[in-house]
Amino acid sequence: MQLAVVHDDVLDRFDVDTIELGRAFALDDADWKEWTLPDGSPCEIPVWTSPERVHDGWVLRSKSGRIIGKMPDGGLYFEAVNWPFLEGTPDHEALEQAMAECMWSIPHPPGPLVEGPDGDRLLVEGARRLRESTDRAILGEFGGALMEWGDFLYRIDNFLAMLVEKPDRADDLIERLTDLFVAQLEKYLALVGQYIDVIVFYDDMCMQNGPMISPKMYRERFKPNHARMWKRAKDLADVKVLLHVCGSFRALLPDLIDAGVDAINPVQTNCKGMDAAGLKRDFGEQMTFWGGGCDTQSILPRATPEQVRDHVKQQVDTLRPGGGFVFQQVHNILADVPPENIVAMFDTARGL
Amino acid sequence: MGQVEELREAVVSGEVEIAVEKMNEGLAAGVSPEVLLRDGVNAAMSEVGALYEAGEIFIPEMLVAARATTAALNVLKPHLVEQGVPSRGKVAIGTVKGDLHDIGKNLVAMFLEGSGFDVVDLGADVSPERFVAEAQGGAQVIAMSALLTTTMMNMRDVVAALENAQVRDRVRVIVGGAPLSDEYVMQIRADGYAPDASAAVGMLCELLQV
Repeated sequence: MQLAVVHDDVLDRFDVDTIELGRAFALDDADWKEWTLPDGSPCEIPVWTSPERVHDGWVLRSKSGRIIGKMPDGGLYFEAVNWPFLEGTPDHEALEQAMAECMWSIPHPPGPLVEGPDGDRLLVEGARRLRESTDRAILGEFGGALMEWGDFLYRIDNFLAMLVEKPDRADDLIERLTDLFVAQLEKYLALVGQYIDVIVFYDDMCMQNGPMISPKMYRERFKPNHARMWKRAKDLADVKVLLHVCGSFRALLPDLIDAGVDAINPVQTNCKGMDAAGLKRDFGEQMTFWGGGCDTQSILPRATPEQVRDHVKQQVDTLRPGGGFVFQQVHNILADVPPENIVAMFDTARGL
Repeated sequence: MGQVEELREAVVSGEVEIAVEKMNEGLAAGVSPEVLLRDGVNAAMSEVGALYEAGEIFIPEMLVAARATTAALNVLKPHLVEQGVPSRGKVAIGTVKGDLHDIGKNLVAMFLEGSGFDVVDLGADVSPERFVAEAQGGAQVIAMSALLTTTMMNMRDVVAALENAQVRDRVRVIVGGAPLSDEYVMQIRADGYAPDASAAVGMLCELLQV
């Protein structure tokens, strides 16, 4: 919900092969309103988001009026500040109402544009129009995060502790989330499955130096539920399953592949155990690396364009042989990245 | 098995209620607060750190152990104060201005406290001025955290503010967070970086020679 929409002229300039399904929507000026970025630059934001100024930053509210997100002065992103299940023994029956009180429920396009009685028709029409207008691969941004929704609802420390202290409660939440997402997935793919090429799931479970949870805990608690969603998606439509999971996921990778993942993003090759050559050697025949093209923690924001070029060449030479590689920088391009480095990165990747 | 040993085991396995119970039992039985701290709580933290570094436990298990530590220490603290048991050093910790990501910082704070440091947790989105005030107020260590490449730059401002206030020589400055590195520590003239909570304890003991 906080990423910039990349305009067609930029996609064309860098010969980008993909586009998000959301780009088929919010095409009218009336869908957008003016806002100002923290550095003073003018921008436009969807009409359904309304940041409010407070004394030390900006806040976002849920539909019920509660403050759910905050961007402190000096920061560039909104972060969650409300966890509906933080206290007491919350009722998991009220899952959807609780999710609406989390910042990450604020949608990117199409969002509310495909709600209401006409919503399904508008979604299908938008998807069809986009399909007819482009030969780019279309990505359906689905979501379906299990550990992360546990984090969003309970706050990450409480949810992680619950996995040890009250495993039955944690399992109950994970299963209810999966039931909800499978139902959403069935509806979503029935409408747009024929128009998209890739369905995007996310679930951040890892850190710089490894997974937050043990592979055993992943296998027991999360994997069967991930598999229910990911395999169902492929049964329902001719789509590839792309999972976004940051950090060092290597220790989980055999299980992720087994659960139905076709591709993983962002492949943070500077993390522990994540060197590109080792990943390619051990898993390159079983999955696609969607990322890993350029480090974003030290290279892209800090290096010279020449260093960016050398690094990108090395990453592509390692990850491309035999296929199974979609070039993308590791993670989002933040505000501290010099534009000439972005140009150097994409032009180098395209020119190889 | 004595109370100290049982306390240590309860903390390692993250049993909050049992850890508190064993701490109370130990105090009632007349075990010295210093022994309960050193051989109970601090020893448990070392063991948890070693298990984490060996890949035998992960963040959830580490978190519940740290929570058991905090609960047991809350019982013990008044007794430590009463007996004048010294801490290994006073640490002021927080995420830098503009950064609200505090899970890593919280874990480090709990680990340092469980390892015998006196920790002042300044929370998230902490201004350089507040870090400086803590340095002026007697903190020996300024510990900063950032998740993003954009906010990590604010660490440099804190070091500069400490220099301007002429308290930089009084404190050790340590940093942590996903994009941090030893190289960045050199660039901003800080003193140390650690990749996780357990390593932070070892690094700080080395820096302070405690």
